[in-house]
Amino acid sequence: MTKKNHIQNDLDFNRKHDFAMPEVSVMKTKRGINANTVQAISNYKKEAKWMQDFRQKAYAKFIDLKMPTWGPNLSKINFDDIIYFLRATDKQEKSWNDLPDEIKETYDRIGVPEHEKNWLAGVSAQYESEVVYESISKELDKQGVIFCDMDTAVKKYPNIVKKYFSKLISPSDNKFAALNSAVWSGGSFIYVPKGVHVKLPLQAYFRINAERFGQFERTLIIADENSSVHYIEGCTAPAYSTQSLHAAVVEIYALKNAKIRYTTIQNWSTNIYNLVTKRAKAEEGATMEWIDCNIGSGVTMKYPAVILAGESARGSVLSMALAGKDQVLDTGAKMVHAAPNTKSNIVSKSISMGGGISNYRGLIKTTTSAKNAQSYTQCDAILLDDNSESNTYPTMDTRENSATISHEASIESIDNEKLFYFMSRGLTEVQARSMMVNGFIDEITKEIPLEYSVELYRLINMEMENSIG
Amino acid sequence: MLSIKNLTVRADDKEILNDISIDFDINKIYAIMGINGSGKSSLAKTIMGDPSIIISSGTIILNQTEINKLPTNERAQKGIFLSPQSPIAIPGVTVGQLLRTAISRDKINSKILSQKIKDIAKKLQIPSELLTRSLNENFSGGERKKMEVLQAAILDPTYIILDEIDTGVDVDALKVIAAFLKKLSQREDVTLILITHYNRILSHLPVDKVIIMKDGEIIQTGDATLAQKIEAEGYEK
Repeated sequence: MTKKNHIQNDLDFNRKHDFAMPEVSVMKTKRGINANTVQAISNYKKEAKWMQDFRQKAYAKFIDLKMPTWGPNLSKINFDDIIYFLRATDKQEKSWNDLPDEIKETYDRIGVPEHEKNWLAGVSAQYESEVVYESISKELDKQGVIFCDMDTAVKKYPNIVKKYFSKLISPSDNKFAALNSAVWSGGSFIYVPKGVHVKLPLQAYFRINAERFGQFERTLIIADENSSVHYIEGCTAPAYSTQSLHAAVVEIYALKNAKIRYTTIQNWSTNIYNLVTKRAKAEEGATMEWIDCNIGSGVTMKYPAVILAGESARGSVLSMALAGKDQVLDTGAKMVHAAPNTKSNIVSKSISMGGGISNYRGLIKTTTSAKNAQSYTQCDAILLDDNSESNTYPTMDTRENSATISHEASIESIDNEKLFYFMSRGLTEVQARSMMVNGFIDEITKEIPLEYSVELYRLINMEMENSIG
Repeated sequence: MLSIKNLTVRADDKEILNDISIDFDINKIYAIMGINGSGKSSLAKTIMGDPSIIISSGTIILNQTEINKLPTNERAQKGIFLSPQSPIAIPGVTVGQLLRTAISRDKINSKILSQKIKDIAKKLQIPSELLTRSLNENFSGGERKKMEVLQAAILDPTYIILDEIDTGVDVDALKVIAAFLKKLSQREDVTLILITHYNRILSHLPVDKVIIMKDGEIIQTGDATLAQKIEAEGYEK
């Protein structure tokens, strides 16, 4: 099969990803959470004392902290009805063929092994609570690049983990960060040694298959001085009528002159609450880029942050949200300029349709050390019908006079003149609308790997068909 | 044949065309002239099916079939093409993407199509970098108009309506466009309908019929000499 055919035939990610397999588990906790549930997870994972203590303290924080009083309605989350830990296999595999049939078939249908063969340097696949498959190219292994699941990292590399784990996002940051800290499982750990440039992307694939379940992965990426890496995460789940929860914590460290790109293609089913805390720290001369594409989930609250801690550090967030029926996508970015000559750039493009709501929420902060900091935010929204909604909530907290902070926002609806132009070339209304929307987010899609931009394009076409037809 | 019979239309509750009748034969070149606001562009948009224009009475007939209610895209597929007066910018979409979507996959292989676009761009002296940019975004007037002609050449319609293809175009670009259109008009089954203020472009093309409009009505028709007369004497005489 040619590569192009493969993309067209196998990556139809709307229909393809909405399938459920029979639940497989070798161990799971009872529905609901208490200190014993948290301890049970530690016990199953045979964790060191420091991690056990960390979890228990975080659990206390989770109980203590209130639900956010701003943003989307989270009142339907029933913490007592969720399974917090579910181990699907008793061991992690290095070959797809060794996985249980249900799981192997899941990843085959999504197309992950094919991606791995064609364009990735390493793959990690998390199914429910834990990573079930992992691989890294031999070349990267030789260069000292570490790419493994977080559970393994805690055991194998405790010194690095202890130095960075939870140092950017403490359990007291917010209720869902606390919950994650208490019951976290899986996620990726990446360490790129000094001067190493990882040319092909590393990808993690997160799958929720079980019903009324919570996935709480924890990701930690450290790019040492003068190194670079591109990490991609993809998320899918089958649609159920009941609610599930995904509350991840992601901490990123770009050391001096390092460059990290973190790309997310979030396509959870609409029964999932996606409440994720993501934060990066960029040291002197380092660059951190978040590329955040949100298509799925019922509710998303996610504001990737960069703390520009070193002189001339750069941060960017390219964010895209497609909010359809029954979706509230509350996304955005945070930039904290804490050093001189730091620069940040935010581009947010949102599409609301079929009654969907997309919000941009952003914070640009400059501390008194941020001499000559520059920040630019561009926020564009498009509404495809009258019952959809888009809101912008920018906040600026400027404590340094020499800083230049600018913000531009626009909201548009489907332009009839453009529609007529496209249709006068023979495009149907569906094709015309798809093309306009794809053009609108082109700035973002051209930054993501071709395989995904093709998927995105097809998905948008399908959404347009559903909304008009 | 494309026939307009006793067409009266309105937009925003205002009558903008009144009792228009014209037959556009195949393999001919027409020029529709008239001052601003005479209804030339409205006529073009009505033929293309602009939903903001409402037909009060009369019919548009394409090959013996009434198309009054046919959606714009189906009119396009049946061989009508309209280049608007001011082609708008389309962020994030290249001319190739637009044309690939407009032409269904089974009609032409996308590699062959790309090559065809490049060849025509060369003939129209369109810089190749414009093919990879968002269509019409920060393009000059001439570049926009050339892109319209390129699209017409690729889509291969029977009735090519060009609304002020000569406006905002410099002398050199006009020559290139006119020469290209002349060749295009020599294709089998092509009718050019040029909406213009000036004789400038008409002097490069063998016009068969000139139609003069005023206040939403046709006030005069004639052969190419009528355009010259208008150029010399103005519309008022």
